[in-house]
Amino acid sequence: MLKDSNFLCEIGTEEIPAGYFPAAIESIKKILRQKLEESRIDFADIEVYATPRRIAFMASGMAESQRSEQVEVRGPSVKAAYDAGGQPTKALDGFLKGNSITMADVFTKDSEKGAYIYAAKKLESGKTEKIIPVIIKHIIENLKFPKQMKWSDKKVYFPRPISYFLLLFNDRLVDFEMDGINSSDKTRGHYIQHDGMFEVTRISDYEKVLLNNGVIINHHERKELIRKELISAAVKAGGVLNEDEALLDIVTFLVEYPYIAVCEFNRDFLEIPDVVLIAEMKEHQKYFSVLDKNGKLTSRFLVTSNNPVNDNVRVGNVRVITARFNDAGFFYREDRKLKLHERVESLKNVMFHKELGTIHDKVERMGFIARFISDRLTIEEKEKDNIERAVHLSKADLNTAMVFEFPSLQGKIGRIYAQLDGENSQVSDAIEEHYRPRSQEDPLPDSRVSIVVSLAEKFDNLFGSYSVGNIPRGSQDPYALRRQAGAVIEMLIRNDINLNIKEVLEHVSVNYKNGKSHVDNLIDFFDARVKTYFTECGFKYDEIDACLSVGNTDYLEQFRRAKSLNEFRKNDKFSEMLLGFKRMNNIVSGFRKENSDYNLMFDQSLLVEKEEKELHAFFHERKGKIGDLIKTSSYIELFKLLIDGKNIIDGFFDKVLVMDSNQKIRDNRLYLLENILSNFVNLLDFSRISDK
Amino acid sequence: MYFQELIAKLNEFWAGNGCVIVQGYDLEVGAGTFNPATFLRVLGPEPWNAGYVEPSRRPTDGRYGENPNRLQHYYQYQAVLKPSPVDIQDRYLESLRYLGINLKEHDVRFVEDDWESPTLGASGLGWEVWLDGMEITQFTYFQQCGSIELDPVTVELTYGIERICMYIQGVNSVFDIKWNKDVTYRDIHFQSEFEFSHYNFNISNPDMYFKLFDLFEKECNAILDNGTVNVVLPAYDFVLKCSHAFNMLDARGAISVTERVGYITRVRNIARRCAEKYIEIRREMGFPLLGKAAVLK
Repeated sequence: MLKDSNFLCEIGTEEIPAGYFPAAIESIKKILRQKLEESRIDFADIEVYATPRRIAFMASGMAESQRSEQVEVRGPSVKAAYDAGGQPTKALDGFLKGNSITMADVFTKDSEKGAYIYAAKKLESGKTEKIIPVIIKHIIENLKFPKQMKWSDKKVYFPRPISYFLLLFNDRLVDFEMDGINSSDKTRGHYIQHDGMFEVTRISDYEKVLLNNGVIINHHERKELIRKELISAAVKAGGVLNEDEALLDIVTFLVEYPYIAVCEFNRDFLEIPDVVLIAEMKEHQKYFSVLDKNGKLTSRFLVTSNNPVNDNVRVGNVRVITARFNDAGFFYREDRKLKLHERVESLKNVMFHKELGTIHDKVERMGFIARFISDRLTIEEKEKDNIERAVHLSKADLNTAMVFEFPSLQGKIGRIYAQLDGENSQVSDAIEEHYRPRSQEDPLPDSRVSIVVSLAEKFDNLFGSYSVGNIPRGSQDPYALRRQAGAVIEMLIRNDINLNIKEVLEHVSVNYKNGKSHVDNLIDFFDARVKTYFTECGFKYDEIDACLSVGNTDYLEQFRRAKSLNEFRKNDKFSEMLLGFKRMNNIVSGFRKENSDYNLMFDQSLLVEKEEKELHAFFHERKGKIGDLIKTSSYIELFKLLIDGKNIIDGFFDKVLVMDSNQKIRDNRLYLLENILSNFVNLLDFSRISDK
Repeated sequence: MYFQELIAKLNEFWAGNGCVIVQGYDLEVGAGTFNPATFLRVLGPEPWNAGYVEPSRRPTDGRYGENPNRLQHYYQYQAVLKPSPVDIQDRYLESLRYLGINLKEHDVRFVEDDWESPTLGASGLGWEVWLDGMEITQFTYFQQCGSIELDPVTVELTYGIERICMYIQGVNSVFDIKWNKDVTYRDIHFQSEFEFSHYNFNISNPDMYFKLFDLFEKECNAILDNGTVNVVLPAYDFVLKCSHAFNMLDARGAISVTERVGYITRVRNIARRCAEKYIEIRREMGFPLLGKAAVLK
């Protein structure tokens, strides 16, 4: 409980969905803080607690009355305030009325936009008690939930009906009414075990009154209590808790007071794959499972009850899970009557998208993409066969009863059935892993076979979506295309895979409507994700631009360059040298803008100054080496090599004027620079390097 | 408590709460919601409180009488109250106590379950009610019906009475429920489960149901468009018939995934037309139940 709270509001409700709470709690904190500040009510701190049937928010050190403040309010412009005869206009009258002031209170003042009417206004110090109802109403009307509803004949929206308000300030009841629901100084106990309305005479007693009546209001405490009891119950049951933080968060908001029941299902069900049993228990019933020392599922499970545990609770829950497992067992045995590869044909009956055809069509397209990628990578024949097989089976579990029951298990079921069918582990792993990452936190696939299948799946999703116009806009990305493109980039970079995305897109475009026309847009989309990824890696925007604007879509290569560049940039000498390159580039491209087809000639004997001779010699001697280092992606070596040229380049620009009046000398120097730059034309765009 | 006593108790309880006790509808329906006592009565401003048993058909759920929990024909006990009483949750809990369930000895839970019927253009927010982990009731605050936003809001309580009875009687198969002292659920329904499962899955004639669907839909529109008398109830019957024909086709797997959406939309469209017509006719009648329904204590 928040120490020294002197304000407390409890909204008593019917059961609000568990998933709504985390966001709602944060949102209340924000709105309450904002409204108090806006209302000039001082406070020390605020806190929000919740159970499924109530949301309580409180503040400490809340002032008895508003801070009074002297402010200037601006009215109409002087021009608009008086008519031709110098009489006040309607605009001025309205301003006076609106602020409850008279002509005596106003004065004229110049502002940037001209002369305006102003009034000095004292914001009165109203009683906090009078403001509280306004704030509560505002919070209720402005809280955002995934879904809201109306009930009875009321007009207010909330996720579930509101039953009552408890509203206290400095231990006195604050009168409040909303749509016929009135405030009181009472809270409701646990509605089964301690039903009734109980008076809260002092705010400091609130938590205790609830605890005495079967409710732990502080959800952090409730969560930790559940965690502790689950862990010890699992140990007592002879195993360890199968920890699941997301499930723990949900059950915390399913009970007002937790009681843990240890139950056991019939061991015969353990023939069904663990993931299926766990999904049944977790997703449908919110049970925790218990594992043995080796991480295998045991027949024990834990129920978080809102009521004291007895045989009714245990027997009832066992009966429910038994019925569910019976169904699951039936589905499992039915599913196993066909091998996974025997299900592939039936994917012709499953629609993927009306313009993109069936899932079977999708699998064919994935195969086409995967073959192209495999051919570009150094992969053994055996692995290529596994990729082919994994793609073929990748969606075969969609037609199983188990995935129909638990869509979230797609891929997982495929992997298990593939193992049972005797497919090798590279294939069965890829069936599950090619969907990764399923969420922001989900890891990427890490075996080569899984990666290629995953790339194929994502390229098909991206190209398919673009070809039917499902393109992310603003914050709208319902098909998670950004995540998928991001995953492609990360997979390539993390696994040292050189792949030219443009080449892939162009090759596979034949399988999509107006395929060629989408390639450039898709590359832009990838480039945008690459920028985001590189920025997250800590690279500077000009480094990223310098790499990306050479138009190479081998993102691993781009990454290596950007990374080396970023590291070397910390060296001042190198940074300055880059600016030298930028200067060369500016001179040459400035010239080429006007004279794009001009034929520059070079004659070593026309090199006059010592500095230009040195510049020529430096790069001439290293030409072969530079080419080799770029070819082998040895960027660090390359930059080390170049850094010695810094003084030479500087010397050149100090002493030599490129645009000499003698055209032959000018051309000779321009040739020299263009020739140096040509070594790097596909590497970096020096014009993008920022001067700072 | 026998099955028939359970029904009698629920009737008694909701009658005591001001509900009119009506009967299940005399056409095949998939749920109590389809009964005009719910679908039409929730529309418009008139108060309405009713309770009834609805024999419900779900052709795809048939298991030839072999599954202890799944039936293609079962019973729902439905209570609808408009506007939803502010203490309806407490009244509902009271109804469980009335059935002899000591709530302090069990774990009762209201678990989020938002309900939607795409065919009826109906949706609501609410819960499935768990008793020791078992779903025993669907509890829904109707927000929309016939694609029309509702005001006031009706609450719909749908009790799974076989499940509750299995629980009270402590039996593990629906067929072992004692209907009365001597007769079981099996005696009354095993044969029909066996026969209808065969009919629904293997014998029925999809061609006929496709034709019927078209005919029923046409008839519904013709009734609404007849141009002489403003009527809706006969038209609504054909919404139900369409819906059942669709379910029969679904059980045969005769409707592909892509076609499904089309059929559902067609039912929803005629359901919406009926809802609009119903409100129009009731308005012309001056919403006769306004101020007339029993006052809840």
